[in-house]
Amino acid sequence: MINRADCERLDRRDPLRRKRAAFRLPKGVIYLDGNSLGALPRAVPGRMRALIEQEWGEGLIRSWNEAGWIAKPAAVAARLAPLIGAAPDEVICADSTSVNLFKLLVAALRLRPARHTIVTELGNFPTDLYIAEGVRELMPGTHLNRVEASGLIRALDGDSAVLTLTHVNFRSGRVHDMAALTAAAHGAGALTLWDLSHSVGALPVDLAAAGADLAIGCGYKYLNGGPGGPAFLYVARRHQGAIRPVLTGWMGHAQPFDFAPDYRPAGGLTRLLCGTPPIFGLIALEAALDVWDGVDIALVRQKSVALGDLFVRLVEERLAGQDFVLASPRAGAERGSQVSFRHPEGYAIMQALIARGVIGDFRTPDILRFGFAPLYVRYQDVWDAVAVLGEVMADRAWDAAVHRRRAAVT
Amino acid sequence: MLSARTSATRLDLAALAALDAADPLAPLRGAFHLPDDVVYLDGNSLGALPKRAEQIASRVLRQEWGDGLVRSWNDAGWHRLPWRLGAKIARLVGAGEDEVIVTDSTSANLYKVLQAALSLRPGRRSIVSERENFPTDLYIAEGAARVRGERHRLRLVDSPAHIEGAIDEDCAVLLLTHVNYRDGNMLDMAALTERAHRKGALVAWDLSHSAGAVPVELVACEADFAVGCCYKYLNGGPVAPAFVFAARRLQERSEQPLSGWWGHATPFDFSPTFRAADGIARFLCGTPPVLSMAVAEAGIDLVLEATIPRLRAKSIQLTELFIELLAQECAGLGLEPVGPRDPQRRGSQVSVRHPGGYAIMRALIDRGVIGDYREPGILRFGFAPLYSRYIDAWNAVAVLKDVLQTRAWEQPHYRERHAVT
Ligand SMILES: Cc1ncc(COP(=O)(O)O)c(C=O)c1O
Ligand SMILES: Cc1ncc(COP(=O)(O)O)c(C=O)c1O
Repeated sequence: MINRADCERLDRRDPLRRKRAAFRLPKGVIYLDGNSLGALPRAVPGRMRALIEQEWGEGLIRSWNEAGWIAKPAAVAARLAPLIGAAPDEVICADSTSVNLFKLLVAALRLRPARHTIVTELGNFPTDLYIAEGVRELMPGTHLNRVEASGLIRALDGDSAVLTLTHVNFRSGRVHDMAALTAAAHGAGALTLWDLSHSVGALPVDLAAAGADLAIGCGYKYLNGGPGGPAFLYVARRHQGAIRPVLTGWMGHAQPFDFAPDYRPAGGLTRLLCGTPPIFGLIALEAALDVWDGVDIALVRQKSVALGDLFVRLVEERLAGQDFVLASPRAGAERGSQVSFRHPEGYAIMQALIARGVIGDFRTPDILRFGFAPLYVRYQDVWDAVAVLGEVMADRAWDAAVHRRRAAVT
Repeated sequence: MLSARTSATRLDLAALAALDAADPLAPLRGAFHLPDDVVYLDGNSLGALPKRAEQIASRVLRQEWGDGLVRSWNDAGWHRLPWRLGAKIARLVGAGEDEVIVTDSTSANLYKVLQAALSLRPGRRSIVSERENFPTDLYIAEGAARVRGERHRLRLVDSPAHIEGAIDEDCAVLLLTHVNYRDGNMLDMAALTERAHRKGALVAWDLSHSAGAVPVELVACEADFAVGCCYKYLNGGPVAPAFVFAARRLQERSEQPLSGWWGHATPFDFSPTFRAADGIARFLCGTPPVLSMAVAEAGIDLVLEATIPRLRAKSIQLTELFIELLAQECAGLGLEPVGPRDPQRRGSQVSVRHPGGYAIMRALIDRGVIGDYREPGILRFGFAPLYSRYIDAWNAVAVLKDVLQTRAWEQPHYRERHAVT
């Protein structure tokens, strides 16, 4: 049986071990929720201070040109492009993931004008489903086909305009085969739109190799861009010229500072910008992306799988008979960087864990989610988290009214 | 052309300094960080930095994000920020606290309210606006109409005088910017809203150049929808999310297509089907940008502290004096006044036109007088009464006079266009 000393040994041999120092992590906390909100990179507060004091305070409006603010949506995106197998000019940062999904779903329908169906998975992240509903209501004649994951390929037909999926499922962590599903969609004449929120920075993604058409994703999970920070969107170069934007804000205009009354889309991905770029969030994300300099994403993946495997093994060894049911794929290759377990008392157990400094999260109806951000989570953290879980179960710490009270955000 | 000032009393620096000394809002300037060598007359584009913003940012970054991590959504009240800021802005625009929420950009919010309005008037197919409206309003309206099919369209009128006549049986929504970005002209919100309603149309107001600068009474005017920037006179910083207003009476019937999970009735149920939240929350979409929202509160609080009547009184006096100074000092130098002379019809900015407008503004900025340039040929000077001083008006005019008299602006490098003007 593995013990804590073994975990410490794994940490000492971990090629990514030095990265943890790039983050500010609170004492007494084991943070297993970087898949929801990434930890604070140490470089961020200093950079934000310079932004506030110098660029905003001293530079004022001049900073749009002099501090390069106007170029940030493309510049920050270019930094994360290598993490998803995109060329720098195929990604841009803007708005939220939800808003970007809206833009690209409409764009996809317009790229396939003879087709009217959006195909997606019933278990997709809610915002993806809700935005697709919004598009359906808005565009006359649009259908939304929500099917079980196993029925996706069968659901593709001659009316399918776009297959939109989250690459790594937010509940189970299951990874879709991006290349195979993209090929199937293309075979049926449909485009693909991938939500990479739980993928980027967690496992290698190769949009180009998969032949993916469109993608979106959050900047605040494994990329550590800060709460509610800007999202990104991807459009394969071959589609860019044909994209007809729906959120036709002035920042997507060919010449915004001509202040012309007629809309004319900018070249490239700039046309998918809408309002004035959120400089605050973009700068935080830019500073956060420095952490990735020199990081081999293959090593990140190796460690992520190892952490997840270790967690599964320890929970099953040490909490056998306690009603925890694995809700993620057992095979590391089929799993993103999280492990989920079901338990009838999942909500209260998670609150008890958080009260003892082990932070994961809960997803209805009964799922405890543990995310392993390989840049700062250690093998010993996995050991300790399972040890605390063992204590919480042994002394029934979860069985208290205070842990049953639902907070607004879970 | 500007005519020479005829009034008997010549304005001078001492007279303006005396006004600053007597200004009840003068102490609030101390709440801002402003560079020493700058006369800042572009707070209508990007408001100045409230000193408290730095402390807020440090707290949010280190304690709430760094130490609190994901717990801060509940423990630090992050999830309430859109409502909390909305309720504060509501007090500045004459709205109920449950009628305003802060989210996304002004452009995106415009899209939401236009689609909501089009859905509320299903038999009508046009959005009516002014050709002189801010471009993003026009582009967004064009996009909002087009997505609904061939027969929906955006119709533009050439001057404010023609707005009323354009509201017909086909007009679903009238989209207007209350204070025009170019010439500072302020529309009569009560009258135009009433005209639109009489014709069965809804009205959406863009308050980007109004909020924090001029009195706005959305409820009293019976406005239907409104949007606006938080980074101009509200000093929210680069680039704070925008606000959106929907009248209480319309909220339950308003549907907007950017139906992200934060606009759901119970987002953390993770239900597979969308059910809009009650009230104004249905105008939310994705996860709120916490850092920029938290920081934006500092600027909004200062506007609340100053109060709109006091800000408006000072704004009128600043712009009046600036116009008088231009007449006194710059007559015969080729500046042409733009926008209303009547302060009751003017927002908090003064615009003048000159064929060399772009280069002149570059020369001014080079000399520490920061306004901005708008096509065609327009020099814009915004007065943010929270921190603009009367002597700023004097100093700006003195530098402008010098730049014009010496023709300093004719140096070729002032003609090179920057990406952002
Ligand atoms: C009237 C008006 N509306 C909207 C905007 C900008 O909107 P956004 O923040 O979406 O770029 C401006 C910016 O100058 C404006 O003047
Ligand atoms: C797959 C996925 N997409 C999107 C989002 C959130 O999008 P937004 O930032 O627009 O709220 C999440 C957040 O958890 C997510 O898991």
